[in-house]
Amino acid sequence: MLDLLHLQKKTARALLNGEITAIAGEFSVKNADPARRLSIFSNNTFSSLTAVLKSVFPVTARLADDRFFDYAAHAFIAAEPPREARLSQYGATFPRFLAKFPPCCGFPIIAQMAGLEWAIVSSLNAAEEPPAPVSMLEHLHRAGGKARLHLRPNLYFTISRWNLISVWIDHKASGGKSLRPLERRTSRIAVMRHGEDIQFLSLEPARFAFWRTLAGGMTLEQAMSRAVAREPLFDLVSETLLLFRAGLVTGIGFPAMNH
Amino acid sequence: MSAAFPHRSLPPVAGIGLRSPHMREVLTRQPSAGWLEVHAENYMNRGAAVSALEKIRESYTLSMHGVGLSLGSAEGIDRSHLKRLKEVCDRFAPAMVSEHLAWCVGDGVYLNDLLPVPHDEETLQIVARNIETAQDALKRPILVENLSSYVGFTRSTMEEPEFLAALVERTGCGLLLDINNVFVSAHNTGFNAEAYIAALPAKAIGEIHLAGHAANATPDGPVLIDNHGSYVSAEVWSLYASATRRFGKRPTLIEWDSDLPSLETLLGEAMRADKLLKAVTFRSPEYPTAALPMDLPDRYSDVYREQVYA
Repeated sequence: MLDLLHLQKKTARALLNGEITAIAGEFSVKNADPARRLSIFSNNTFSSLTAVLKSVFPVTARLADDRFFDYAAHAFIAAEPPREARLSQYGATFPRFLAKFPPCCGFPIIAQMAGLEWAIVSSLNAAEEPPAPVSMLEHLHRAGGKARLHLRPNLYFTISRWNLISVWIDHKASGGKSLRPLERRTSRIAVMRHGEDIQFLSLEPARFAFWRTLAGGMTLEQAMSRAVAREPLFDLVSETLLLFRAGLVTGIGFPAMNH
Repeated sequence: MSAAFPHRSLPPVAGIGLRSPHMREVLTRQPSAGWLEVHAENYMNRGAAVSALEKIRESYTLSMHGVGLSLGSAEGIDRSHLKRLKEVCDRFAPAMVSEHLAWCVGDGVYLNDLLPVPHDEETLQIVARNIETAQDALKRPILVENLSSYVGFTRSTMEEPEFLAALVERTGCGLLLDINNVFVSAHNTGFNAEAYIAALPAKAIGEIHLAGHAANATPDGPVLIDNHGSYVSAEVWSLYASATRRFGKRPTLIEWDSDLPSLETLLGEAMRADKLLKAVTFRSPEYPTAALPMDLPDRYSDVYREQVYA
């Protein structure tokens, strides 16, 4: 007889890989097959996690078709099951999984919509922090390009070759009943939450690179360099002022001083 | 067990499980509900739902129900998860905290289902240690809920009520009696539900759960599934009336998670529980207990609606 630790490890593996007969001898039930009863737990695991993914990626499920989504979700759950009970973190790698999932290879829009939906749910689950006053700008000269601007923690970014936002909004507005036709149109999108609502901003390539680099924790100098690579006339002063005025900056990180 | 579990920290009336689709309505309409129970794991971030619950708790008593602590895990409790649970409890100051007699984390994987534990001495020691770890961290006793079961263990050496009573004795925890789970387990594994309830330590019961279940046809006959997706069944109401006569009034929750109905429907089920609590406690001739579960106003009537949103 296995000790409890090994029984639980073996059971967890069996429920995920379907080899329930390997553990059935540890269980008993009157007038029924223990393996059949154990399969209830396996079904619960896959169906409840699929429901979690569907609640996070509703438009992706609609684009892919429900049955195909269930199939992809099952493969994802078996390959990358959750590692913690905080399921608001589960699904972060689903867009990447879909991008590499062979049956999805001819339909990159599915993974890209999943990327947008993950950005939306991440934004809704992130904190809201008060914006830094514009007057803080005057402190920037102390550090110059070595400073880091702390952007709102609920600001997320995604990029796509399709009109993802209009498809997502249309789906939501119609209560999931309609799906706007797809159009090929490259879109760089910033997603952020306002209270319980979500806001989208469509950004030009240079501004998108500037914001995303700053949000990634890099310095103003590094963000400027990436923006200028896309737009040689990128105006650092007015773009930084815009970030403050839009309430997107929550603080400034100064480099450590050498004494 | 020398003293009753301090169940009066939740009012001894019926409450409802609050799920995200109803949060906005609860905030705007503020319907009459004895108390609200939420799943702790849904508030382990700093997002919009947390802000909404902070507003809701200003008007309602909260109970925090965990589904991911895995008290039955032989590998011990995930300390990071326990820390997050502590943070949630500190933030919302719930009147009660509860978890399940179950495991859900094994081999580093979270299964998102509640799996049963054997009832033997090895498991008793493991679960007692985990409960003590949780109670030490949370600085409060918790309630431990009996699970729905579909299968037993060849290694079990005691019945579940005896196992639960031993946990109460060793750790000072209380019990959350899920009557639907008792009914489902009794059907699936073949024991007497009334005898199970009678064998529990009455003073330890700090809360009761009521929920619906489904029946799945299998080659071995129907199996009841604890899906929290329908009205409380007549048999479960009857067991509840019996338990209430035995234990007295206890805070009672209407749990509904899948195929979530309207808020009115949930509140209607809670009213039904309240009427039954009142009838049993005061032996009111106005509400004969035998007829009570079937003897309430139509749940969609205008009169009922006015009462709920009074």
